[in-house]
Amino acid sequence: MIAADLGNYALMAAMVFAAFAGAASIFGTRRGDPRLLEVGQRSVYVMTGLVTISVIILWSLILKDDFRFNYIAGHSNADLPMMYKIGSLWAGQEGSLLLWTWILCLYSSAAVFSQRRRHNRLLPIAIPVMMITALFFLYLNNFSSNPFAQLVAVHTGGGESAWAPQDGRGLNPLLQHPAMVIHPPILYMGYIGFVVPFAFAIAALWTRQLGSAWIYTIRRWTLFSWMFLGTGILLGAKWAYVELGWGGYWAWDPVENASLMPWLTGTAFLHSVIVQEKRGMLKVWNVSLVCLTYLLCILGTFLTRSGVVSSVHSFARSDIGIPFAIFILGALLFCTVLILKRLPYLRSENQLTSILSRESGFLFNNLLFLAACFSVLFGTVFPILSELATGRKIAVGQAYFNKVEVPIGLLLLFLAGAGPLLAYRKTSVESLRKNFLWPVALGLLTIPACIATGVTSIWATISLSLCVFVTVTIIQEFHKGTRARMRSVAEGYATALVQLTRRNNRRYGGYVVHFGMVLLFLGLTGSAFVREGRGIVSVGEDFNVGDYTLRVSDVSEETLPNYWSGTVNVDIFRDGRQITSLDPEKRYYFASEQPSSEVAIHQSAAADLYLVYAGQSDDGKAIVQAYVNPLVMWVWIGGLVIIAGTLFCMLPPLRSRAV
Amino acid sequence: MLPFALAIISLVAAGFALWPVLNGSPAGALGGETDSVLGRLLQRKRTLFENLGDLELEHSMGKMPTQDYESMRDALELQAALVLEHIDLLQRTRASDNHDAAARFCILCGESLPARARFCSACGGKVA
Amino acid sequence: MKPRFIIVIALILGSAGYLAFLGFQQGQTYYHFCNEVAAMGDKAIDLPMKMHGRVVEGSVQRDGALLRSFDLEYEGARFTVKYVGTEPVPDTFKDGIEAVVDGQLNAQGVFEGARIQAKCASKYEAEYEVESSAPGNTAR
Repeated sequence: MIAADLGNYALMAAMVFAAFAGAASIFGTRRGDPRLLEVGQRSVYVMTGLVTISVIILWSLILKDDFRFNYIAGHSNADLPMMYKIGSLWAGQEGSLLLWTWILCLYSSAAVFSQRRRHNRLLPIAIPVMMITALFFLYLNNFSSNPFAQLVAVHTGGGESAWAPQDGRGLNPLLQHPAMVIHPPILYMGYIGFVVPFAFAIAALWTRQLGSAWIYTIRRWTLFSWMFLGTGILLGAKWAYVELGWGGYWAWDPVENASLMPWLTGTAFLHSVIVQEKRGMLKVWNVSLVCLTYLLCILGTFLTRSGVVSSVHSFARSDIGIPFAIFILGALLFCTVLILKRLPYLRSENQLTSILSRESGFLFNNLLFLAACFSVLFGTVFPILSELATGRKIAVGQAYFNKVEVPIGLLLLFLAGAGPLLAYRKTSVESLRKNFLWPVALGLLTIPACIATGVTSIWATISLSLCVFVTVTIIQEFHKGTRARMRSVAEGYATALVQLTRRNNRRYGGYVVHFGMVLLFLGLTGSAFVREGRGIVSVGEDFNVGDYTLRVSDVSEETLPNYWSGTVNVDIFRDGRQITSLDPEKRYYFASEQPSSEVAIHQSAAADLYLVYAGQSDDGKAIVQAYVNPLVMWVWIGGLVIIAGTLFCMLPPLRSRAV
Repeated sequence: MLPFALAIISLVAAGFALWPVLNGSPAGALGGETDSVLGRLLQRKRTLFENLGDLELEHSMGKMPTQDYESMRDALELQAALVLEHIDLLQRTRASDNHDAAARFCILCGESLPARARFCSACGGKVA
Repeated sequence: MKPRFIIVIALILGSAGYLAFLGFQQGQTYYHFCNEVAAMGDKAIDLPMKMHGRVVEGSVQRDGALLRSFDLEYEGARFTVKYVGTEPVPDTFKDGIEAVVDGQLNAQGVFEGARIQAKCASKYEAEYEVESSAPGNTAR
């Protein structure tokens, strides 16, 4: 059948051109023949075009409800709203892997196009690296996990025939939420984006061009991918909070961890390259961090898809685990050997002289991020390791992750504030005194303030104190910078501030991102004070949770075409006055026999009141689960501030020698 | 019908990719060695000036004593001067006849070197 | 690198390692399928663990919307699970799905579960199974 054949052909041909692109680039650079280099570049574009064709075909098959295809019958149905039909392209494994390949092709083409100048020595080696990755995923697309597989009815009497159900199974209602539609593409733009910096790093190692040229080439790519990865992670958390109804947003689930780990090493990398640019140090760290990030991105895809670690996301055991394991181990071996062989070219140009220096701050930064990443990795894969070693699977609980990651996170927060205040080479006592005075003073004052307002958790107190500390350092940086500018250029405060930030957008954008992290930590700190309560109440009765009184005013139900809905109206009181009314809902979808909760949340800067309607008890009382989640809103606000800061960093610089 | 369509697609794709070889233009040399070195030097210049600007900003904000600032600034300015000189030389050489036979210069001490030199004969530094 | 650096680095890594060790001790639970639990016999009694199995059709007992108990089975071994938790049960929980229950087996052979983790359905499923009227028909 035409569509399937064309789709399969496109995917096979894409493999051919991917291999061809890599080969042409390698031969072109060895023989010094620019024509071959250009052939290599063009082959990348052709590969992209072919994969695009197969994506378009799959999309049109979905939109035309062609249920002869296994994938479409499994993840879509005729009545599915358009937005979710489009999203069903990546709802299941086959389509998701195809999306991976497609985004990789698009990124590769963009990288080639932006670096296509003839004298670029790195591109001819970067292309084969990107192509080998593409070949791996194309192999999966073609042979392990083909989206164009068609349904076949096997008859008991022997023989097979094509078959299609009347209607598809549809998309799980839990996934029918706008955040879930964009979450995979955004996360992928983060994951896959790191393939480009990795490719150029390998190219730099291979060709021994280990100055800072490769770092500049990839600077914006890295920021861009990092931004999408972080956004994808927060989107997933937000969806979990709003849809899953357990009152939280992060459970250290293996799939969540899979996306966090490359973010941790990626963040370390973003910071560590600054030291190489300024002082020619930490070169081995930088190449290692970018290789680690790439490997963790592939590992993350592996953990999510292969079902090898049990998680709410992935119980389906599939056999694509083996190819992934081989690829990751092979790539790890390759990177290790290459870095070891190039160690002579990665010597530092300067030495670490003092612990109280910016360089050592960055070094500790790297160590802390790495410690966080490895502890998360260990906890995540431990069930597999223990099974291999002792035959018993041992699951590691949330207590482990929280115990290790909270202190590390707080130390990193401290560095975010202290680091910028340290000087390169050595910080004098005088400048320590001048620069740390206010931040430390106000930070320390927070401690008695916390105790006075009844905060009993030590970690929460430390966290709040550090939030204040870092915020003061950031304000100080903006202020002192503006004053310094005003001393050399005749400008008013506001103008000086704008000019200062515009001319140093990387620095000040970074400070904005740090402030976003402060807000995020503020939100995270709130989770130390969660209150929970459950009321089994009739209409007119009420119950208390935290400072709130919840009174049920009505219980109703309704039957709609595709689902049944039960709603409870709850009036919320605080200090005797009614502040709002919430209507949490419980739904039951007929087609998929799937219940879902439509949580009702009252947001405020101080806390979220989060209500779940669990249904009715035998004697007709409403069961309402309530959570008071302090400060959660700041997690989302922090995320937005981080995005804004990152965008500001990515603006083209506006610099001249004169300040 | 389908095999025909696939054949057309294959031909167009292969044709587009292989065009640089198919159109009969001579192999030519990879060349651009000078451009490559020049590109890296220009990037190095940008970095050095960026670092200088940052250093000034941090000093004006009081993060380091003036003595430390001056010694770091002097070191950066020296490197910048060498890079500028090297760039100037390359640009003048490129403006003249033979691109590919451009002589090389040690980026650290400025000594002129044979084209294929890997190490500087005067200061022993590694040549890019 | 100066000795001072080595000390600080060792402190950081050492503390992280120590915390990991502590947290690990606190947080670890055994993870078993129903048939493995059955094979353990009496040793499984009062042992905190996670049990993985499939919810037996028709076994779910509720008091209105509150979950009371259900049966979990895997490879022939079947256990009744009494739900003693306070959180609402995940929305994906229903007949036939795979679930992991946190809790322990009591002396009467009933598994007392405090938390239920249920599969997020149809996201990465491997197959499409069809119910067809003709006997012996399957789709692949």
